[in-house]
Amino acid sequence: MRTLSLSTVAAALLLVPAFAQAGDLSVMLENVANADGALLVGVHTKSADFPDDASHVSGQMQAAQAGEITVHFKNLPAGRYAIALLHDANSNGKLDSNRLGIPVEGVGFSNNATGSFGPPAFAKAAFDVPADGVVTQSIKLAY
Amino acid sequence: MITRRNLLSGMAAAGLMHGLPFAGPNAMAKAQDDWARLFKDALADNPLLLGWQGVDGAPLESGALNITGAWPKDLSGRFFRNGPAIHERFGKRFRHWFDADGMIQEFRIANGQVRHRGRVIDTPKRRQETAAGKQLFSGFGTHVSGGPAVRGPDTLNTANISMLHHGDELMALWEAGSPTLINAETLAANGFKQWLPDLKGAPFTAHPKTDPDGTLWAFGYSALPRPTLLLYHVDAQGEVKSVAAVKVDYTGLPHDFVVTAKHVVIILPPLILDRDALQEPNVTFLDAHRWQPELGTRVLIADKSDLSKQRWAQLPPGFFFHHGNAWEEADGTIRLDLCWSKGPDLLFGALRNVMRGDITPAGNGSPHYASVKLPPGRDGVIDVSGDVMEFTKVAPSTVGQRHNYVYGLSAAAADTFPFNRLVKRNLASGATEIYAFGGHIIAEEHVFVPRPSQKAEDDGWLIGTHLDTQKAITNLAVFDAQAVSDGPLATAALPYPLPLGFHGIFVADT
Repeated sequence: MRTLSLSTVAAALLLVPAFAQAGDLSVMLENVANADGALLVGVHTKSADFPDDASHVSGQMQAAQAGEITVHFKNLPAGRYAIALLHDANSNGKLDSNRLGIPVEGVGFSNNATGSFGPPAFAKAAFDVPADGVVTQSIKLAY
Repeated sequence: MITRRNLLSGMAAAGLMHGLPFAGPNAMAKAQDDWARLFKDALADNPLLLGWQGVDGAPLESGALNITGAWPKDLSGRFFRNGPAIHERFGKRFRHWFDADGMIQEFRIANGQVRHRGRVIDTPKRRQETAAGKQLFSGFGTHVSGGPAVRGPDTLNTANISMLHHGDELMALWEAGSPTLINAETLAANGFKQWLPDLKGAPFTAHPKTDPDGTLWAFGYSALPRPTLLLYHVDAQGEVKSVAAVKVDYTGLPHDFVVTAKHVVIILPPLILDRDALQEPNVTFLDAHRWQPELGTRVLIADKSDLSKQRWAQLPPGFFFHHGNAWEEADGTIRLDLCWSKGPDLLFGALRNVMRGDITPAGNGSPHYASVKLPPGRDGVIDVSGDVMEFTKVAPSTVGQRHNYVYGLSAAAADTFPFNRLVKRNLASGATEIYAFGGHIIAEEHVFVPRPSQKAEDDGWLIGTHLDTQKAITNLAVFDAQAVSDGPLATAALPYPLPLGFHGIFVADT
């Protein structure tokens, strides 16, 4: 059986450790307000829709704890990424907004980038993950 | 022997002063920005500017005040005022009167005696800036760049406009964000009031209205992310009955509103936010607004019994901060009064210029008493023939009902700013009773407090503060509302001046 199915190729591509061109990412979350719910850490590649799901390539969920918490991503293919953080305090899996459409849960972005009446553009939050070694992002959650 | 001075000069010589959490007077002078220096120089020539000097944020505590005249023994309770108070932070002076952190002034009145306490409202904004040692966030008319993320209006909330006491809760009100809960004993800020689970960080007007039966009505307006008017209905105990969210195609600056027995009436001046301008660097929120008189003035009228039932009316263009009261005639015509200006010059001019020490005329922003008729199914009409008037108040017993009197501040000349006269206007005759404070005095809002056994609409007192710029003190005065021209019944003199503020409430002892 020498023919590789498409799904096998896809599976191989996801086996990132097999690739040499990969680095590690440490994300330090600062200013976590409390231990309610979960912290969602999303790593995204370039997209005009950042930080919507379409550009999301890797993610982790951790139980919230007040103060600081560090989350590690191993073996990310070298490239340009941006991170979006959400403190999902009520654990409903989404960013809640009030009746006016203003988000009301804690969020943060790599480079501590800020947007004007919305999330920052990918370019403002983007950073490089090198082919090897570790890159660290300290991101302060804003509530 | 090592003295503090030796130590400091030695440290300065060694270059160690850098980064210390304090600095000598010379360093402070150097750190002051140009507006702070302009204001300081101007204050030396014009004592009226004392009202905008601001305080450093330390708590104020007066002890029993010296009283001239006889303070009414049956007037007992607490008079709270609020207003922007710390006009310079970290050497930088705010660029608009509206931008400083709020400060509560409490006058405790009992047994013919008065005591004052002043407390800065330690909002999250103020706490973050205190921790950072610098201004971080832009205000209404002040631009600050490079600060942390603005998550919503409450990131910028200065709680600096007015006060509300409702359902046993004391609150300091801003208007673009939530009320700030205030501990009634310590006057300390105690987080934001959240009316409903889906209203976290939602705007709430600085001018809620309370029906004679205790029902509270309010609106909240936000231009962003999509222009929305919230209409709040809260019962006398503080329980939210309903909140309607009305999508509007209006991005502007509504400040006050009125209620009749049956309706909520919100008048939207044609000062319109240009959202593209807001994206430009260094443009303040105020300067992103454009005066567009060609749009006229739109009026939203919502049914109190079902806030989703709404109609719109139209008035000629005008700008206005404060309203008086409203009622309905038998045919459904809504009558109301408010302080009407031809345009927004006051907002863009005098209220900004005074921060750099320039007292300038009100221009087209000179406010005049005006009465409005909104007949059912037709455009409204406005009569703007009244005298100069602002900071209008009515007897609480008349809210939503036909009132005979309105009280407010005035000035001798049409475009004078600030005000130094207290006025009572008779609606039917148009006659006014006036008390003129001296030219060195700036009068502030006076609120009507009914006598405990109120027998007539004007059976009560007017209490309010005024700044005596010659003596450099603030006084609290009480007038008989039936004899305004006679001058104050009594005056309580503070041993210090207070920053000029905006609005107050009287909370009677129960």
